[in-house]
Amino acid sequence: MVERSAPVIAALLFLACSSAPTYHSVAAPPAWVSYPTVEAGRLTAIGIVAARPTLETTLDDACIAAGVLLERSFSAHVISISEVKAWESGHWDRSETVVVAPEPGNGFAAAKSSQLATWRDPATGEGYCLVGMPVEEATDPCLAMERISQPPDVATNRPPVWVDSPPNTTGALTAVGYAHGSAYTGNLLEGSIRDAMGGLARTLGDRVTGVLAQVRGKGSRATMEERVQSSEAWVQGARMIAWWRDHARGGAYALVCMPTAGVKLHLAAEWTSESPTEAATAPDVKHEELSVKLKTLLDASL
Amino acid sequence: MNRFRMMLGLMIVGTLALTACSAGVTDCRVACPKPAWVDMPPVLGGVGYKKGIDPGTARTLAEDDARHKIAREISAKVAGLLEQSLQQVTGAEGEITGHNYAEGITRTLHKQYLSGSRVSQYWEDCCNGGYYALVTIEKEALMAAANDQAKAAAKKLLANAEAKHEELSSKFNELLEKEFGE
Repeated sequence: MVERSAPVIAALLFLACSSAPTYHSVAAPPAWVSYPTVEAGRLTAIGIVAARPTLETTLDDACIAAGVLLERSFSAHVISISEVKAWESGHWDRSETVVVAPEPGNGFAAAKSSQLATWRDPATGEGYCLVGMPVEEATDPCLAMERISQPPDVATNRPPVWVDSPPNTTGALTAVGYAHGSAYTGNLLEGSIRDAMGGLARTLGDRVTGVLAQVRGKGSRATMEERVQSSEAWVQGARMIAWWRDHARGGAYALVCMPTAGVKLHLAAEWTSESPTEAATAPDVKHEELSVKLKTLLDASL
Repeated sequence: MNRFRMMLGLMIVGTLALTACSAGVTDCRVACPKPAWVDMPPVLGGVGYKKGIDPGTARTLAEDDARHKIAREISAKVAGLLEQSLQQVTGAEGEITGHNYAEGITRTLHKQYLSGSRVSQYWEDCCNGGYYALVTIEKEALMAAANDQAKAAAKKLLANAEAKHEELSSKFNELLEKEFGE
């Protein structure tokens, strides 16, 4: 019995162990799904929604979702906070980022944007929509990012180079964001862009406050460290250059790029009353203020 | 004979299974070699580390850890250079290291505003699932951050000696340039 079934078991084991997982879609998505078209003078965004009862409503809703992301892309208030407490027997940490368009839902993007392309994934029924709006930009340093726009390797699920090495271009800031934990592709897209915008805000300015305390007793010593880091910035013209779904871990990465010229113009208006020197002298106050703001925004978004 | 066949069958099963499975398992140190910057960060940079949570949060907290290290480094450097400048300008010795010794407690506090620091690289250590982030800062941005902090500290130290501010600032910048200059 054993010798008869042995070849079968061996063949099954061999197949099970040697076959690497592959990630194929029934139909290859259009290139703009991973790399939204970037051209000078136009800001673009993608919206993704789960399948709706009809094809028309699926694509319409995808375009509405894309409009919301386009609005945030044009201008958004970004707050990012992280806290770490570490002591002898453990540690606690948290990290939050909130992105809010100046007047969410005011239809500004919808009025200015136009639908550029739509696609429905035949495998999942999800709808994809690419929208764009004209912006006043003579040159776009983010266009240089095109060189990283090689198609993802779907057979091996190998991450694109930018996932671990955010590209550096003169005249632009870049950041990579990650999201996971949702069955909806649209949520992963939105979450990864939000995380990347938090990265942009931290690059623009990060207030760091840290305390390291050592308590010495009779023959013993205890160490405790606490730190708070917070950033608040108006991010303007941040656009998603590339997006990659990590099917193996169920997450997604977004690469966001923002021309610094536009940001400087905006910051000049928003930050004149608060120079870095002033912020550095009273970071505790700012952290608390930001923490309250963040909580209010989180409560409102839930 | 039957026993021999059975043994042979089992040996073939074992060999095939071992061959197939071992092909998928590679040494993690070979699969993801450690980049040099993890142990040797550049002068104008810091390396942060975080392990044990989802990749997004781990990468963000590793990035924050790196910025925190840069901030701590700047604070320590500024305190040292400011003390030197103060001694040279006023001849006085000041305790501005941010340490506070009282009742057996050593407390080090640092506050810093970092502008223009960016993530250059992330690396996942596939041997233990931890994430590393390399954050770099341009020399100009670092000098600006150091100067801002020094100005704030000098304000407190030289509250009654306005005239010395300029001299102190110039001495501090001279030392700072020596420290971080080419």
